Amino acid sequence: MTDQEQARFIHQTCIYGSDEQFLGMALPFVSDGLARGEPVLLATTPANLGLLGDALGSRATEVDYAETAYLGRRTAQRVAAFASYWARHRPPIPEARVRILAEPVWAGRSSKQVAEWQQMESGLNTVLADTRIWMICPYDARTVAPDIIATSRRTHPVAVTGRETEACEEFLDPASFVEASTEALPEAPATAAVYEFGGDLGGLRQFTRTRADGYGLTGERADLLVIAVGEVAEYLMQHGSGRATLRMWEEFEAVVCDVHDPAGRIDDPFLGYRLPGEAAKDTDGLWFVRQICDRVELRSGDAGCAVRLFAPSARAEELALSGEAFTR
Amino acid sequence: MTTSDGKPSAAGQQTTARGPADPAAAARDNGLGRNTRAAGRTATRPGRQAGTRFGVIDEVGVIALYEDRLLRILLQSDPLALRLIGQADLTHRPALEQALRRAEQAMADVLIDLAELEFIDVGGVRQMMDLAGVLAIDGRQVVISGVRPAVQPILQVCLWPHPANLQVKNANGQDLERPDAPTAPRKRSRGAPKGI
Repeated sequence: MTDQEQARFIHQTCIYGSDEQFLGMALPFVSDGLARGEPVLLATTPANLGLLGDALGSRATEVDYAETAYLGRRTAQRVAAFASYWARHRPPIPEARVRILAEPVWAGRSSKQVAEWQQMESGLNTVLADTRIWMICPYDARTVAPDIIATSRRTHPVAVTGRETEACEEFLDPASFVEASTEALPEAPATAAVYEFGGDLGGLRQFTRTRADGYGLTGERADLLVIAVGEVAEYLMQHGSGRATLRMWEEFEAVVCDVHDPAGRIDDPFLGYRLPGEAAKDTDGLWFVRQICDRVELRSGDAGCAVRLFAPSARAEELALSGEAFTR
Repeated sequence: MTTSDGKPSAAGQQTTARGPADPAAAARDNGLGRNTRAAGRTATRPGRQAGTRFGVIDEVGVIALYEDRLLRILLQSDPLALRLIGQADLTHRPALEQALRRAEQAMADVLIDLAELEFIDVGGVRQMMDLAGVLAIDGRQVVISGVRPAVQPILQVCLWPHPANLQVKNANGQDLERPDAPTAPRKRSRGAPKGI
């Protein structure tokens, strides 16, 4: 095998400016995979799915597909989707690959969401490192902002055009990328509810539940938030000082829970992205937290460490309509 | 049948009991000092009202494996099942581990009754999944029953991939929907902004 073939996870950005350029990359990627009997997942825009479907003709029914906007609303769900696809389709042959065309969604995202998705793109290099996924991430130069396109060359080690690849000199290893792109969290409001945690998990859960009720979260949504805050506390009990301050408040679009341990550390910026596996890990609770919260921010430094959870507030009409506790 | 510590036991008798002839005395001798009446489970005896008596377990055939302020773990003999009562979290890992081992020794298919469980964390669910993994080797099942609505969501998120030898039933005896991978790509987009 060549060096490229021996590499585990392959992660490439493809910047395209026309349908022809998109197909110039995607068609060989898919066709070669099908010819080798490798699983292929297409997660791209409806327009691009249509282009590929037409180009593949009868072979189109051999590929798995998803509208990219629905393959994980949250970054952690998206990562789980990729890891799950790998787990379910990994080929028995060591040389074979699982091919995923994964077009990120940028349109309409807030700047915080863009940053989070870029950090996820970077994190894939670490989180999927042990898989033999070959992932190409298309970026549409006609619609995606130039700075986002430029950043794709910092989050992907290689850029591909057609069948040609080149190394991205701008590529940063994921830990460095996160460090360079992370801003300080805003202070909690003075009106935040505060609970000093010193190991009483039952008391912490009760406090969280009472506050959640006060914010109008009921039933399953309150239950899940209580679990999430508890899991953060449990993680810090095992990895921090065991004492932390919980602050809860409501803001537009979120009930926020901030857990700060002044003597704790979190070294892994992608904590909670790895799927629970064969053996239980003490990070499995944080995987759960990332699945059910809209956003999870981790900070670690001289002032200790903090985990800030953003759960949809009671005003989330979409959840009221779907009746689901969290949008899966 | 002997218990794991070698003491003889028979159905309906606790290891500390004086003997099956006096189940009421056996209940008093359990010594947990807590009123543990559960609806529908009280043993009624002729001439006595089925009611709660402070400091006594009104149940025969129950071995207390663990108790603290948050969680009680009981091994019940009829039907043979492990019962978790209250809240199980990080502080209960060793106790739950021992209880699951005890249940594994006591039962072929392990029944875990969660009818009185209000809360369990991800790690606790994981412990039950791991038990299923061990039992799968011998073709044994784990049946989790009585799951309350508050506990359903954590099971649905965490039991993935769902072990083939693990059944989960809610309080009505219905199988909890066999959970899909939470974010498995679906073959057909539903159109509504639900996300996957």
